[in-house]
Amino acid sequence: MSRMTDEKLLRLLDADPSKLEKHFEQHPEDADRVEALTELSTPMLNGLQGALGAPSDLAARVQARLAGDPVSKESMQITADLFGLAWRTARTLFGSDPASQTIDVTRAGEN
Amino acid sequence: MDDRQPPVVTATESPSMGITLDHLVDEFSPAIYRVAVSIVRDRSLAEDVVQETLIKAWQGLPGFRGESPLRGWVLRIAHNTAISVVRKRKDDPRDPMMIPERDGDISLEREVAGKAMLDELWVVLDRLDETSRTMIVLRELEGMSYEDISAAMRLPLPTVKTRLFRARKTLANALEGWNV
Repeated sequence: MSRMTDEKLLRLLDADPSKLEKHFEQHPEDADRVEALTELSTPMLNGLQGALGAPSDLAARVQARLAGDPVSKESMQITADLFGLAWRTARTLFGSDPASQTIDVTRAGEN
Repeated sequence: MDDRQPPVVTATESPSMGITLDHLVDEFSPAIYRVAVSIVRDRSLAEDVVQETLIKAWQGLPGFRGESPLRGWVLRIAHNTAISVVRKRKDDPRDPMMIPERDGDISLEREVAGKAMLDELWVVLDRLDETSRTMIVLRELEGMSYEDISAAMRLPLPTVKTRLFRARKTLANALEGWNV
């Protein structure tokens, strides 16, 4: 694919992003160009910070919620107890750390 | 000391990495919150997502292999948890509004840009899909690299770039007056 103008890159971004993805694979420098062309202004970044900013006392509030929530405390205790048991069992049998097993919790929210 | 003794395991310390729950809370709560509120659009609900995410992350920490940065791993859990919360609310027949309105922290909003401008920004953010909103947070507010976002969201790097560029273009086009 030949070199594209800024206008054509931006048109393709809207009209055919998959084609643009392929173009980026051949011309990574054009990805840098589109990045520069779509850079957010400082007022927009400030606006995002304001709209999505966390309260300053968030960590303290979350600590208090976790400490005061019996379900959270119980589930964490169970995890700790179970893991401790598995660890002791594995150390007894193999002398290894069972933490090498993968538990994919990153998909926990996917239905 | 006998190294065959099992470690002392408490409810607030992950046995595999020695990371405490307090560390997770202090280090990641604000970032989790930003991802959450961009998706659920409700500050109170976003705090629920923060709590749920931290518990899931802490419980899953023994299985975390460090193949991608911990921050990205935690924020992916936040993204999935927030989407799950939104879907549950959509499915809840007792909730006629389906998705809650933002209740807003008025003092913070006024301090930064003014409520009218932020309302305008929210209208534009609502045009973006949830994944694009999360990408905006990860890149523009958390400063993550495209590679780390790609690993966290499990999307190819070129896809991350085009989706993010499209989202930024949408924001920039709709809020053109903000550039002045």
